[in-house]
Amino acid sequence: MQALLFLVLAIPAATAVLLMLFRSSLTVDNSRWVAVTGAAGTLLLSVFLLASYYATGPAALETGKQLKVSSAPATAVIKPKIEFVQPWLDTGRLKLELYLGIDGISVAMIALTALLTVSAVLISWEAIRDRAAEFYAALLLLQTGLIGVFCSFDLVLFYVFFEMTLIPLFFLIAVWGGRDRKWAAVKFFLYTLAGSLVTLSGLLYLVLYVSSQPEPLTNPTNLPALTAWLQKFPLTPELQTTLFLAVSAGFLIKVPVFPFHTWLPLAHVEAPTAGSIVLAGVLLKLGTYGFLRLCLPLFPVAAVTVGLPVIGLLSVIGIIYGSLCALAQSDIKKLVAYSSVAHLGFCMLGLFALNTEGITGSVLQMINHGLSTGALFIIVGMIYERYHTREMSELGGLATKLPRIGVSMVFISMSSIGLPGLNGFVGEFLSLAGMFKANPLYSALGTTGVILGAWYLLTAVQKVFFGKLREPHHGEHGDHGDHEIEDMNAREFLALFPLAALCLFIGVRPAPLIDIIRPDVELVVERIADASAKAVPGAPAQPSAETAEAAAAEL
Amino acid sequence: MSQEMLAPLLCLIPAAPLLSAVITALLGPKLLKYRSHIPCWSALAVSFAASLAVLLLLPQQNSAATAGFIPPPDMVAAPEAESGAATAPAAIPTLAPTTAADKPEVVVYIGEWLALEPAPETAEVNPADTIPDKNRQRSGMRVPLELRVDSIASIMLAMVTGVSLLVALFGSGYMHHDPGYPRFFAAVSMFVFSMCMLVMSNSFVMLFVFWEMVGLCSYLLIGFWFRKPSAAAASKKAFVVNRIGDFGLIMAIFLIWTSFGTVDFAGVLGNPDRIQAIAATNSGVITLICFCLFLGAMGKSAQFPLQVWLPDAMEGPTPVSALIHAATMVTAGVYLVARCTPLFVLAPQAQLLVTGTGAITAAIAALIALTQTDLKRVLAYSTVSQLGFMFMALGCGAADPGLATMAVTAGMFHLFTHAFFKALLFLAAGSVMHAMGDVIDMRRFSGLRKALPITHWTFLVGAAALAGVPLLAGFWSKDEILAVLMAASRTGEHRLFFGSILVVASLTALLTAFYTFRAYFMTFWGPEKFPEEAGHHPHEATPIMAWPLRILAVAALLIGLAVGPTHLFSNTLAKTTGLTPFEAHFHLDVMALSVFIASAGIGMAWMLYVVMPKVPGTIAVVLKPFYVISQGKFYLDEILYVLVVLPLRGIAFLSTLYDRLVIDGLIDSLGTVPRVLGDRIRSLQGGVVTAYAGLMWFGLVVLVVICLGIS
Repeated sequence: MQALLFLVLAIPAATAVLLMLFRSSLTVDNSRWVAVTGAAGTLLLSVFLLASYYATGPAALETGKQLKVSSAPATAVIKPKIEFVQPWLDTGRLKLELYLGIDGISVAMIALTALLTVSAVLISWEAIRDRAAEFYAALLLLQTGLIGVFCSFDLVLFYVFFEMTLIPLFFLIAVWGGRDRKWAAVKFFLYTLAGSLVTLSGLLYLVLYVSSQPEPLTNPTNLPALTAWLQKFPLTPELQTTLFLAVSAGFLIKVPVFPFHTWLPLAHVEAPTAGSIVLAGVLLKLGTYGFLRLCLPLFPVAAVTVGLPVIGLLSVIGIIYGSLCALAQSDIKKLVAYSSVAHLGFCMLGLFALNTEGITGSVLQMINHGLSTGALFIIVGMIYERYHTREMSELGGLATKLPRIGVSMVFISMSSIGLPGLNGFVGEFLSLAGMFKANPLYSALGTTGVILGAWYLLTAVQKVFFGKLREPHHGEHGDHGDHEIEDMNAREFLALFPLAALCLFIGVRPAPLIDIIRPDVELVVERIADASAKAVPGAPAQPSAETAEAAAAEL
Repeated sequence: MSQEMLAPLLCLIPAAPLLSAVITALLGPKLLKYRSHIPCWSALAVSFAASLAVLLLLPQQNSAATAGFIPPPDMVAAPEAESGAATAPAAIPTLAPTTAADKPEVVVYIGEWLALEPAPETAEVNPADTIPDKNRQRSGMRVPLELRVDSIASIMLAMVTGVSLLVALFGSGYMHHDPGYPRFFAAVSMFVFSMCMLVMSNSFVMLFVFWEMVGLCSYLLIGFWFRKPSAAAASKKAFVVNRIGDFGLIMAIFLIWTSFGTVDFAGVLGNPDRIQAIAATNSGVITLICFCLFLGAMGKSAQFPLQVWLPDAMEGPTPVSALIHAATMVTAGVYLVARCTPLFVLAPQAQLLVTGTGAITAAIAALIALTQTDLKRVLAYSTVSQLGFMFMALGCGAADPGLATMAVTAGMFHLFTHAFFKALLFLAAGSVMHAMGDVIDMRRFSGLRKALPITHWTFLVGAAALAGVPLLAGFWSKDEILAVLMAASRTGEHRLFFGSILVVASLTALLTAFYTFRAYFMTFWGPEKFPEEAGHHPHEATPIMAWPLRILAVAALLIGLAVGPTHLFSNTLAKTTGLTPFEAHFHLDVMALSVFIASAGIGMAWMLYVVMPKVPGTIAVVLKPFYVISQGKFYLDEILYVLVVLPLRGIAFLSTLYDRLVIDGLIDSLGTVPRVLGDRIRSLQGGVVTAYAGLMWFGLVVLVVICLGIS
């Protein structure tokens, strides 16, 4: 299992290195076959990882038993179920480790990443002919970074992988992007980097603070150890709030939460299809995942006092505002980009409900949004490849000419607008239900996004696929003038079908996925509940808290 | 009758159409082609047979005898009363006492769909559960997939599958040689599956799931001819407007979940003690839940102001209009409100809203139907109007909780009879359309009674049933609605309200008889005239279309008589949880009223459209403003467009502007800060050595001054 974990990370990295090393001698065809082999290998391994994780019973019962054994501190330890630890740097006072691990949440995200990368490679097959080897190397490097984030249980490692994703995506946009690609790439890079630097400063402060305490941690970057330490010696609410806000900064921009979202539509419109798939499908989830992995367990009190009211409100605004913006778009890719803002609003809403329903719904929504929006970008890419336009006013009635793409579009749209029976509903419903328990008003306002979502997406479907056939003039694009426009081919089908099939499967039978996710979600919920119970004003102050406060005052 | 026999039957009802939908969708386009109706027909026949068997066998179900039956884990049939008793051990006398013996129910457990109940071990470990924190509340969301049939559901099932079967038969003739033939039957099968599941659902969440699924099928079938821009627009409109209602339903589910801790019908509706307890501590919640539920019902059942989608839905193929947009799906809202009677009886305000909305809808739709010239639109508005009638009845419990059962019975009975005669009318209209080369404008054809004899007499039966001609289906059910309204106007504090509703209902019934026969006379009487699309010899319905018409006509003739005055319907329905058997009487006064109304309406139509066909034109000129308003459908579409759609589009446009200019502009100008700063500082390093020397001197002076100041 540990070897598997290591391999899932190593294969895409090795493939990327291979592609870069032999880039001058590889033809387009060779490089894409190498890329698809690497991506498919990773997918195979990650599916195997997921299956064995599910089979070896990390599910509810197992966790329950574990809890009973280690019931001393009243709450369970947040810890990966499978881990791979390698000492890296040991100065005596400070110990850094290569600490990889997976739990139910990350194993699902890794599988999603691997699946979307395969689709991204397949969909770039014909579209990318210029510097193909470098393109696929960048894509696989991006995948490495993403999987790395999901299996890091060490703060340094987490941050390194988190930032590592920026560079390949920067090049994907800046080199293979659209007309305005340079500006989009620079903006994306600087904006998200600025945010994550604030996150870094917050994490640094936390690590230094922890290692300067009377009972310091020798390995303060070890996430489970750090969480356990903070559980024993809680930070003061004020410090928690400050650090929560600092660490959140990078994630808020990455998600993106309103009003930090403006880089996203630009980046999506300019990015090549493969870039958009991975960007929307996985990269944005680094933000929500970061909240779930770091902000909630490390600063549980601040999550309740600041996160729920403030970030919850921003998410509600994001849902409505993102939907309205999507409604006004004429570029179909921009429409899908704004729909991501709205959908991630649901995701954040569920997350900051801070209860089992909400967070489980949120994790489901992360996966579902990856599947359905990834698929939407694939379809938009197919249309663009055929007609070289994304303007809805230039297109119409395509279902007549491209029936297979039309059927897929209707299907995926239904998944995206949360039709029960498909995946989108489960995540949205649980997120909203969780928030309803925590704050009914936010939930009610967020639910209006369900109406708007149907409106903008079905309008797009209606404009582009229904009605009379309308195609842009071929004359403008000389090289495609006599090119016969064909329906979805086998390769495109292969890229899209697994996503669609999963949309149906998760919608009809969400239980297995929920079983994988839930135990680890419950640990986070327990942690928050426990911490906020201790922080109830008027409760007898604990000695450990006092010392922590005194120490904080010294700093 | 044992549970074990009913369980497979129950599973068969939705399974057959699901199988047919999958087969047709996969094999239809390539293999089955114009034989695609075969799986659909056979599946619906199986479903119908199974539904009839369930309807007949269910009353013999002896719950008490099997109460100790312990369900095996995989496929289980357990009496719902058992779980109800388990969740409510404390018995408090309530409004609607339910005993297991006379409320036969069968529940088949298939599997867990969504389970977020915490594992019991986890709950044990945590000793801090006593701390009052709302995030600690561990009433998990659990939604099992179960099939549940009680009396109300068994009636619905028989009606749905029966009408579906006839419509599918008709459809194979009507859709003959349409390129989308397989798609049509796949969608119809899918619809019947979803509708059966909706009716058989055992929790609010499952109900919502299939509530949306029937909406999807409706979307796909309205937009069946998606190349037609109007059809594409209508399908989207239907879906989005329905979503507004769904918003209400979602809110209702959340409210139910947070206040009851469960979304099971057994735990909510079958648990009067719990409802009483919640109503006692927080009566507002029940009212709010009912308002939200009714919002959901308004969307699906096209009640004012959400009725705008239904007339447009006529863009779909006519069999679809008959099945989904007249007989079955649109009545789901009525079914939901009827099903939730135990909640509604405790929320009189919500009931008043239900009745009031129903009355407004019924009256407006009837007034619009008066002047429409599109035969299908007349029928569509008539559907909206009749749905309004059903809701009018459903809210009558507000006058006196004792009337609740009578009210629900009246509403459900009208739903039941309406399904037959309205499906008949639509199919007959479809037959007209088929013969007239897809022309449906009544001004372009007339005098069809000789050319289309079967269509003529079946339409006449349907129209007579809708108008409320004595002894026909609509007569009995409309009579019960008027009776319950009359009863409500005689008791309680809302006497005046229900009195005025009764007046509205009577006038609307008069209008109904008038516009129905106006359409009939305009189509089948007068000089024989065909549009050129029809060719010279319009063909009468083929046998496959004619037989469903005949069967439905017989049903419209007899079904009211068979189950109405015999109390077969009311007695069966009364066995539903939350309803109490009541003493039904004949209301001779009401009957006299409705006979008068029907004959007056039909007589007026006869006078105006057969005897003096010039007069309606004159009236239209004389009452021009009223005519224009009715013809323009009260401009409700336009009003909603100006009040809702346009402002939202405006806000959407402003949002993008704001996004680009303000938010993004702010970020971009923040991005320029380093460059601006850099520009300033760069000028200091111009490479001029004398400038550096000057700066050095300046710095030295400053330092000296500071040092002196400190010392």
